[in-house]
Amino acid sequence: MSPFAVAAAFALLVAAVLAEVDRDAPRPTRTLVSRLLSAAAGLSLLFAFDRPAARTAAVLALAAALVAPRSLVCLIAAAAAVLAALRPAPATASGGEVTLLVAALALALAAAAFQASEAGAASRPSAEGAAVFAGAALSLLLSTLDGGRILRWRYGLGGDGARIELPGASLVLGLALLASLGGTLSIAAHRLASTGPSGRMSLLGRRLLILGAGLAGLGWGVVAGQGLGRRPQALARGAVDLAALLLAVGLLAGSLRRLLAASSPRTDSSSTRASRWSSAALLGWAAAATLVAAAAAGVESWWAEGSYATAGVAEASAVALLGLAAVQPTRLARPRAALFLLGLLAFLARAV
Amino acid sequence: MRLLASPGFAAAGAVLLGAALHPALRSLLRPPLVAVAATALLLALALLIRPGGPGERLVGLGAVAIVAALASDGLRGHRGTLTLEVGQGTQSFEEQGPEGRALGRRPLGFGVVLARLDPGGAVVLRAGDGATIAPGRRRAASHGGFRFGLAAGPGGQPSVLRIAIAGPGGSRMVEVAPGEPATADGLHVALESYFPDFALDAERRPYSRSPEPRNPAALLRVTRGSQSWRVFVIQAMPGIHRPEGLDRVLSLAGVAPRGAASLRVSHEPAAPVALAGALLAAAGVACARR
Repeated sequence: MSPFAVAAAFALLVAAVLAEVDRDAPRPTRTLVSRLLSAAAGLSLLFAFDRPAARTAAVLALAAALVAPRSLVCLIAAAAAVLAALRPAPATASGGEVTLLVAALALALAAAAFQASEAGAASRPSAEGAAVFAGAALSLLLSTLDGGRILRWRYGLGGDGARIELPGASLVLGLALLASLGGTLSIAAHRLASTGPSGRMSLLGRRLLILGAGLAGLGWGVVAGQGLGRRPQALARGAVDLAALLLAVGLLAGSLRRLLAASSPRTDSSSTRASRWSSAALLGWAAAATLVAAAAAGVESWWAEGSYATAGVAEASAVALLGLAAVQPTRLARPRAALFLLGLLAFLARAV
Repeated sequence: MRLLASPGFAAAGAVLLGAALHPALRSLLRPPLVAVAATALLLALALLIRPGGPGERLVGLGAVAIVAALASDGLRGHRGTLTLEVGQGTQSFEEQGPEGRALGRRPLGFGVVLARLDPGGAVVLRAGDGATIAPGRRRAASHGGFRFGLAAGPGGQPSVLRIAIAGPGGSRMVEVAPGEPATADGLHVALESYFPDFALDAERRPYSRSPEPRNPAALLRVTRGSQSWRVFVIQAMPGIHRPEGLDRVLSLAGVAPRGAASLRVSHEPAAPVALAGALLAAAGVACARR
């Protein structure tokens, strides 16, 4: 395990919390501390540069120090730092280094753009929609972890030969799945029924989602603690699970905070206009960076394998096309931006 | 034309094309090549003719350049594989079309001989003009307009076939390879054709689905004095073919690996145009009005 990556993950989580709080009540000191923490985490990750996930996390963390809003970028960087901390460096270079770095920069810009567009559309229905999306993402993730074994109240890390069963974690994560699924369905039912802001289903859904996020966070801690204590090799094989769980819990916690704060919307038209402009500009830069990443993937593939007609280039091109779709000035802007963000996340998750 | 120039059309086209190109969705959707090409062409046209500033123009030009380059390489370029054993030479490679479809052998325009396999994974080929082509791990090499990259680790290709000959006096084992016949029990056994992954095509002709030895089979030329037989052997079905007049049963007992390299060969003359198009489009997206 890399101590530099662990320290960076912790610093990035703190920076994400500070940046999230700073979005509603901006304070120069808080902004500066979150920027400094992100930059320090990025520099710390440079010491684990032999790990592909650390390189990606370093770019994300350094970009987080520059862009605003940055809480989502910090959260994604923290998840990448967890991956870097748990996964040992590969014996041989996997290639595609430039592509990964440029794609990580694009991801940071796209995440900041997505959050900026969210600030422009801050309202109770959109906060509820974000909570439903985050709750559904956590439920889906929990139900597919370890090949869906949580549905049978079982969970373990690692594969044949180096597997450890974690019965305590399976109980906590199973309860987290039930609570988050119940909360997601309750809020979704409330939205569909349109019973007003103080509906009983909405209240129940919020409480269940808070419980689900808390239990999933607790489960993350149990898995990490038991895995480290019993067999770090198994933990390394479950690193993607842990990174994804951290990201999903962080997303849900952030969306719940906005949902609870959305009862008193305080956005004025000038700040809304400013954030929308900023979102479009950031999204444009993210799409441009993704096109450069696709070009870099083509060059690297041509250099290494002799042809640009490879699966890696096809995937990078597909994400670049999603970026091109996201910047078009037409309807469904946020779903297109979300699709672009998901495409970038999936591309990097597969590559590192 | 107004519909084609609308941002909604471009957004929908880009999402559809992205889904068609993504490897994870491609295997699920299996989009026809003609539909993918038509979507790419329409998207490039939509980006080119839509109203806007210089940034939008650059995006359109970049998209057209990429589509033109891909179409040119699709029609005039070649991609395929080449498998050689140490000391073996060839002047052609197995060309593959879209979706990995086998198109037969395509001449390289020059001869290559596999000179040696380095322990580090590098392969050294000697071209007919005396030039050395040395593709290594994650490093392709160029010669005569072609790029040569490692498709699989060297040394993994089976080339020596172990043939069991069963007769009244018991069973004997011989090893045959291309150009290396064997003699046992009064029989001269030579390898005529080898199919590592045997299958029959639509016209019932044998071919190999892949270079991997998943279903090895071979056609042998067996001679005794003035008599000669062609015997088909397949590892999955020992002794399936018993030609008339041959009082021995031949079976393929196994294949043994020998030094060989599988190379990826490609000729993509429009690759620089595709790269320029992607960079042009990136510059255009960065400069577009918002």
